[in-house]
Amino acid sequence: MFSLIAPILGMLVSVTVHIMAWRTIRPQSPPRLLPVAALIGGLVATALTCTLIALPTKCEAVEALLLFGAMVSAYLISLPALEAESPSSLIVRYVDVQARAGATKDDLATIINDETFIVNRIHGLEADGLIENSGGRLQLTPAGRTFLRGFMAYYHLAGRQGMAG
Amino acid sequence: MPPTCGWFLTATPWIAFACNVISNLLILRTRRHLSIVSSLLYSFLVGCLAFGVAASSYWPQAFVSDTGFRLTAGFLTYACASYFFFHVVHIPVASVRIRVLQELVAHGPLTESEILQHYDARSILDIRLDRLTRSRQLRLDDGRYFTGRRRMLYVARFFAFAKRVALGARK
Repeated sequence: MFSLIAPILGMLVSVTVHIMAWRTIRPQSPPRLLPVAALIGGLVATALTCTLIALPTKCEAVEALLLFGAMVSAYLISLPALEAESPSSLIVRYVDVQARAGATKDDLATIINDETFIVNRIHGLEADGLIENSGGRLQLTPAGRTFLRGFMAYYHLAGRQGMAG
Repeated sequence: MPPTCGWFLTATPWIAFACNVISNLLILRTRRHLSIVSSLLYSFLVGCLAFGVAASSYWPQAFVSDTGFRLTAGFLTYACASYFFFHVVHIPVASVRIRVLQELVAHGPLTESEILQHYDARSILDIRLDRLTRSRQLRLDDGRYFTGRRRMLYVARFFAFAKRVALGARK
């Protein structure tokens, strides 16, 4: 039972702590708060579950740790979608609101603008340390190059090409 | 006889996940017309099948001991790892941030306005409308876009709801 209860409880505590910190501090890079939130959640859940249920076997402890890690990773990869609006999400929601009247490309151009969808992303990349401003020109940092290579590695291994967007 | 070593059960979600990743790679390399999202859906199902085959050896135990809880934890682990994998594979296709980084690699250091000359909101709109129309999430009729299949709409509504919960009214 430990391998199921402890990670779910840990995740609930971690997400609660993370959201509370996010709403309070309003950091430029919310993912940076996650390791502390996960540590608090993991410790609280382990202590509670060991006290209220039972001490885990080695297998159960490893399974709990792996499930907790997988849930934290899933939450982490979802953060950009929470943090910033996706153009596709906004388009489908806008078109749905128009219902029978539908929407033209010009209608949609009023909600998809440079400031929200590109300039804000550029500032986010700077805040995350993936690009830097050098004399008014933006360039990749070593972390940015590693980040880009990491994400493109599988795409290239799969034999796909082309630009994102 | 069901396996007695508990470590096999611990490894089950990761065996399934490995099947998911390997089958996705094979699908993408051999079915080039298939979209990334469809390939990820098929490979997720392959992983589910692998999980089911591995878990079936524990079937009689699942109702009488902690094995049922461990199998549930195992499947959740597989599902979360697959969700993470979905995003990692999909990000190079859809992420605006990745596109900005790609532009900087392709053209060298750029100012904000130079980036916008290569990639602006109009480009995003064209790419997204094309992709949403091809995947039939939107329907184009006489120059106007209408809701098509609702999969993307439900995902968009879920994230809008989650955002309200996470950040409150002050987005």
